[in-house]
Amino acid sequence: MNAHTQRVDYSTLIREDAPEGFLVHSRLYLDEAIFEDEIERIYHRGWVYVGHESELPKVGDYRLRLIGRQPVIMVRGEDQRIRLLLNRCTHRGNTICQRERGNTKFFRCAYHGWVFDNTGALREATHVSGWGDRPPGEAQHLFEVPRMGVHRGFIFASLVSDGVSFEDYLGNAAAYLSRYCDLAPGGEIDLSAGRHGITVDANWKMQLENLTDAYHAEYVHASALAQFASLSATDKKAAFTDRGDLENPLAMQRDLGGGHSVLDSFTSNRAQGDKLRFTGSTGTLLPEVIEGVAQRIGSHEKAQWLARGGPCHIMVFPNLMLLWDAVRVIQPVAHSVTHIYYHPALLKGASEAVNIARIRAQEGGFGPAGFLAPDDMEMFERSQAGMAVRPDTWLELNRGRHIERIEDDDFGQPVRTCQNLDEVAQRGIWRHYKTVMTAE
Amino acid sequence: MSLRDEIEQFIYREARLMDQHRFEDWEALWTDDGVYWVPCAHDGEPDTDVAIIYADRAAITRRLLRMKSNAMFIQDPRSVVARLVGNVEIDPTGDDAALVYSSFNITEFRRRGHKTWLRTWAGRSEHQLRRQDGSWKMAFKKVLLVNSDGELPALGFLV
Repeated sequence: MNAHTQRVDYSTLIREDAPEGFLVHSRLYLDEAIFEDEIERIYHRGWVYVGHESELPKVGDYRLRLIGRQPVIMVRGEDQRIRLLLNRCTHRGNTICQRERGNTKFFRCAYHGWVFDNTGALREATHVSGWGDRPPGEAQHLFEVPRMGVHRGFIFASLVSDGVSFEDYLGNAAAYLSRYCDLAPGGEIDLSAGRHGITVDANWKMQLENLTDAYHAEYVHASALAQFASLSATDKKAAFTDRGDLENPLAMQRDLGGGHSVLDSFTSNRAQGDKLRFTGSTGTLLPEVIEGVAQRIGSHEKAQWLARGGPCHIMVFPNLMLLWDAVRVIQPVAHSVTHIYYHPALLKGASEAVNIARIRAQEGGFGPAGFLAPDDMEMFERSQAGMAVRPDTWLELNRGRHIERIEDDDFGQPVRTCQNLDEVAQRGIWRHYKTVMTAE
Repeated sequence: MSLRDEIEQFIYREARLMDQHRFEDWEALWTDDGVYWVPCAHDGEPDTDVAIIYADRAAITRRLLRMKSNAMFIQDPRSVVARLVGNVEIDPTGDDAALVYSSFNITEFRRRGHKTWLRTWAGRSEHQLRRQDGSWKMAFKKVLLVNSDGELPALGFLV
């Protein structure tokens, strides 16, 4: 525990029942000491998404990733097992891998020539006679991250060996990750199409809050919505803003607990029929996907129901997001700097046409020059700048508080629920945050 | 004019139209089957690797319509950009076609409220040009940003 932890009293910065409602202090976005606490408590002690099995199809394939600030090599070893190894020579501490991706049998430290194989085992310490009768051995294998959990190919890890189990961490979010994969004819997604990255001068938590915020879409994304040529004006309204009213909402915002949340649009997706866009920029490829899913699960009726429900926006605390055609990963860099990576999620077993459409749809919306993401980033940077004007202020998250209730989701899980334009998901993030940041 | 003069003039004119945000004039430089590609991985392929931009002719039009709207917040206010284009290398690929390599360096000035900043963008372009009715047009343009594989700030102007 560092010195800052004692200094910040998080219970006073997140107020669930103030006279003004649910309040979050703007300092939580602006304070470097708080950021250090978050890296330590959330990223270095909790569970974090690291990568996907499909990124490493072959023995020796690797990717460099960060868990908080810890550089890890995610690598498939000779024994086919995927491991997360700290990118640090066990001799003098050099980083041993400099490329972001590649394939290798060995990682060779350039400093004194030590060689580790792709399972992390030390294979050669040079000039071993220098250690007399105690040469480097097993104790000098690369350090392996102690806990790794895999759900439908999504790889998560925790840098500490004790604490909440992987199953308890994923909690109600697991069913949603599974549903996302169930939409592929092959039952799996594939992140082999690479990624594009953005850097934004704003706090990482804004990314979490935004993913299930349907309220901003018709304002921030007006210029993009105007260009979705495949949709008529009425359809655009149906797809993005008019998701029913308070009495008959078509889409729900749900706080899944554990900081996870979803914008559950299964019902509104089904209402769109053939105009559903999740297979790419048009829905014309949907019947093909449904046919593929039907072949896998042996039921046309169930495949129709699954595929026409489509994906929903899924936020898995603290750094994984799924929506439409892509997997998004957030990487906190500093209190006011965040990196975001977008990987098109190809559907295994689908035709090349389907997967090309998904890549094009991803590029159309997201990445540094997409129609959607850049305007979101602009909003986050404006928020970061605006909050700093008078940092001693509170932000309120009261939308839908009067209708917040526990309701069964599509999987029969009882979860806090509001209407899609509300803020129950954001309140859920902060409730969980407070629990983590105030824990002993 | 020599072929080199014609093509250099075309490349410089395109650069100026991009600097001046003259979207309709820039759009008129494209052939009807034009493709505009800004890859992430320089050795990537459009069908298998995600790009920063991969736009067929219709998508180029949609992109420009969005850029002309007053609700593209990443460009409110619009960046002021100035670019140098050089190292122009021309490889004639037929009587009325050429592959053109060039390099660029762009300085971008942005303002948001009281905050202002300068950024540099750089890279190489490959144009496939075709002469139609006496005028050169872009049938294909590939832009290799030096930092395309990294974490980029939002890119709100034409490259």
